[in-house]
Amino acid sequence: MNRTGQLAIKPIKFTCPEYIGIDGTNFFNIDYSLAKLLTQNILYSAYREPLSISEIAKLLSTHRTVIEEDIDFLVKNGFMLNISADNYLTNILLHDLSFEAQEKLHKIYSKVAKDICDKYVPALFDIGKELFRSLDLIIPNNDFNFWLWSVIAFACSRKHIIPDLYQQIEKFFVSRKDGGHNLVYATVLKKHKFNFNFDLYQSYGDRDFTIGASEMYPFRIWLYNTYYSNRPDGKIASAFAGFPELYDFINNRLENDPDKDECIERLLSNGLIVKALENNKNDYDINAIAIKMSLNDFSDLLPAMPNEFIDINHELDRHIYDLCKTQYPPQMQDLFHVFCKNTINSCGVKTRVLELLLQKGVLKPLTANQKRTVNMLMFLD
Amino acid sequence: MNKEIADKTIEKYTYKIYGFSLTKTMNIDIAEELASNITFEVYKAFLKLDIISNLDGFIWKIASNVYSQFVSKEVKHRSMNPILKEDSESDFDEQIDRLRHEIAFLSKTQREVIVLHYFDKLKISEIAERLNLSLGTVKWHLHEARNSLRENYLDDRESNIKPQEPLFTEMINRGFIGSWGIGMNYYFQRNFSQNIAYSIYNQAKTSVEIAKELAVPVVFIEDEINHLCENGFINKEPGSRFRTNFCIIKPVREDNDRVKKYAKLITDMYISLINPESFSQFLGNTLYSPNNDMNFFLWSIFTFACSRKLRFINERIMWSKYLVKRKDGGRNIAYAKIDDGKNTNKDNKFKNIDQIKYYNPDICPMYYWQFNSHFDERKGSEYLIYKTLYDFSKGLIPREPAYVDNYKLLFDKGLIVSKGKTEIANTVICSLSLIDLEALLPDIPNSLKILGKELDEEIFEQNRANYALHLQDLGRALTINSLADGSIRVAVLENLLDLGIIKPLKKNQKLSVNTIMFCDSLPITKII
Repeated sequence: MNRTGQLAIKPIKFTCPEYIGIDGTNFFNIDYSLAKLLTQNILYSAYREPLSISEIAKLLSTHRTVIEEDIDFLVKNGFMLNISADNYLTNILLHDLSFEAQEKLHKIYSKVAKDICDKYVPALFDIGKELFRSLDLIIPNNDFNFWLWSVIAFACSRKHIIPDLYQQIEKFFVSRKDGGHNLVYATVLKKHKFNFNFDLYQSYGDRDFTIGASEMYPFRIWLYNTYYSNRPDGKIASAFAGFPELYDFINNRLENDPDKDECIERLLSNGLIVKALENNKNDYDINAIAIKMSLNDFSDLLPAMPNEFIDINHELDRHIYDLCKTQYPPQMQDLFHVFCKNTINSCGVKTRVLELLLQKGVLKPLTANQKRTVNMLMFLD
Repeated sequence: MNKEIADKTIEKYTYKIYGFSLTKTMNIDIAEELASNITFEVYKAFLKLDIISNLDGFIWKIASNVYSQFVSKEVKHRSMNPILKEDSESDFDEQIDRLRHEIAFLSKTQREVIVLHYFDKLKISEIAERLNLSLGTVKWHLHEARNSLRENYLDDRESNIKPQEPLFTEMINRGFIGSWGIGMNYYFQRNFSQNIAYSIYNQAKTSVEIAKELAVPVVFIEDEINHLCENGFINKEPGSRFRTNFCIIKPVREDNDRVKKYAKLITDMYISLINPESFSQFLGNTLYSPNNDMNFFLWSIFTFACSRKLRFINERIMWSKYLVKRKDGGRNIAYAKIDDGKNTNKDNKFKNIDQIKYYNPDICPMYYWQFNSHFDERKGSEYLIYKTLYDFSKGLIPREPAYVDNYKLLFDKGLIVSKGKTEIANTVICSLSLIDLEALLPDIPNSLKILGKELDEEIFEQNRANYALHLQDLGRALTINSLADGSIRVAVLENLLDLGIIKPLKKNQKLSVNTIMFCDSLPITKII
């Protein structure tokens, strides 16, 4: 039952919203708004059933005048639907699963992660070793363990089993007022006491992107943020962590930059460079992995997932859909059906693979500096 | 009902029963006693009955009966001040709702303690462990929370937030923008954020005080404040109070007579020192004006001269100690203007301002200065558009179908125009650096500098009341170089037009006037 102040007394909080698709010109403002607690709770209030502004205000213990501008913004940008005169329904995908469902998913993901570790990682390990020797790479301290962390996570992300998944999800994209055409999703953070460490498996994005004009900065970044990596969450924070400056640094282009000092400070604060242990105090070492080839070419060098995973994947997808579908509101069920496909490549599995490998000693613990840039690859054309 | 179900059911109603008791007695201790009596009677009834069709109504009836007996007994023994009135079941729910509403306005710790105790049914010792507090502290917070609930219970909250009109009419940054390329308007895109900053501009307040003032639950106020604090727009002060760290200015009505007076002084004392003939030797050499149009060139050079030379006090030095570091690496001073109903220039808020846009010179050795005013009819001025113009002027955009989009863009923006069978750049281009071009211009005379300082002082005094006490020094620093104010420079151009020193612009010149693109070479002339 919706009660006065329900969401003001116990507000919910999302993980950083994630986007699939194309960003519009007002993306910064949109992302900033969706990170606000008030906006998140407005979206949550009308997720399962349409509500009027007054009903939402009541749940939030505030006046309708306070939330009208938020709702107006959300409706104009397609994050809420104004389904009748004064009835609003949330139009982003929220993963808000029960304790029981989360516990069951944990078991499923852990089982798949174990299969990947047993049947895929050995081949990946060998190829990773070979590539470590043969490719033109920048690797801090030439640390094979650090390289392996990123290669394994990258392979688990990119060696897709369902090739046309993006096209299937694309049908659910929403056109934004600013020209964006995308899908937004987030996970509602839980305060349950699970039998496993829930926070450990929360991923804050698996994405690759370019920045600015390609002729100025011909590189591509792939990164995967997890509990193991220590860097700010969110797409904007990732995109503006100082990668152009890192590119300039790698190519010795910072010397004539009038903002050189600011650039160095940004690179240091984002952990992309670190002060050199030796030599003089003005020397810095690169603290990120760069590969001198394209993302796709690198992906092609990695071994494919075993064929037997195809059937397992289909079975898992169906199982997860049956397990969780009732926890999504009617307007989101079709989307969820597509969204829960490709379990083997999901973030829930990837992080558990890293965890298992760490337990087995295949991967070694990371240093503080490495946590800033782990599971991140810079592809230089 | 078996004991297990009775235990679970009674647990769900503990909070409701306490709320009922508190609203009846308005006394914490008595409410606890009454709540305990009601709970006991309800529990006994649960154990006796197997099926209860309307649980809410059933409990409400027992609660009302116990309360009546309680009042008759208590009035004999001690003084209390219950609100004796006939209540209905809907009143009961309304009172509970009201109590829930008030919980949202408690401070973070008080709210957590109340929620953990009455909603999550944790014991005091469990709360102490969960929140890492001592038992005594938890009890104290619980006591304070109940007091707050009682005190605020009868308050009617009205929100000050009016969503129809944003509070800030203009948001301005001075200094360096960070890597995200965003300014103050990013952080204050909502009226909600603007109202928070405004409420703590003149006086520091706690989040609870702000919440009460704006009638927005504390948890949402705290979230917003966190965002603004970590970006330096709000400071946290002793006593968990917050205060706005930027100026919020009510624009004083523009004094047209004063603008005209100083525009005339500038025209007479400074513009007269600039000899247009002295630039003839540079045109076609280090300076480019479309079709060698001297009039078009003079528009830009006079405005540029006023923009650079009338700022005779070094702003970088004056403002350095007030620069605030933003999360994205930006270091700047932000200030906002609010509308007091007297400002009639709402449509012109992006006019009469300068901008210089540049990029890493190793990547693109081009930057440009621009002044926007009512004289121009620009359609966008993003760096990438000018980068395309730069590529065009270097001959890097072939006249081939593959590049039709580039040409269309430049034509649309008025940055190239047709000349015969070819196209030419349609803005002033300079192969000297901005500093070198500035050096070709005369400095302003000392007599004008003295008048400029007097103007700064006059304007500061006029605006002094706008600046919060803790921001008076910043306010004074922001008022320097008033002589270079955009509206005065516009009036200078109007003077020059009246005097016939510059002539009206052609339509296509209005798209690119008052712009100088600085780069490594002048446009290559194409011969078809």
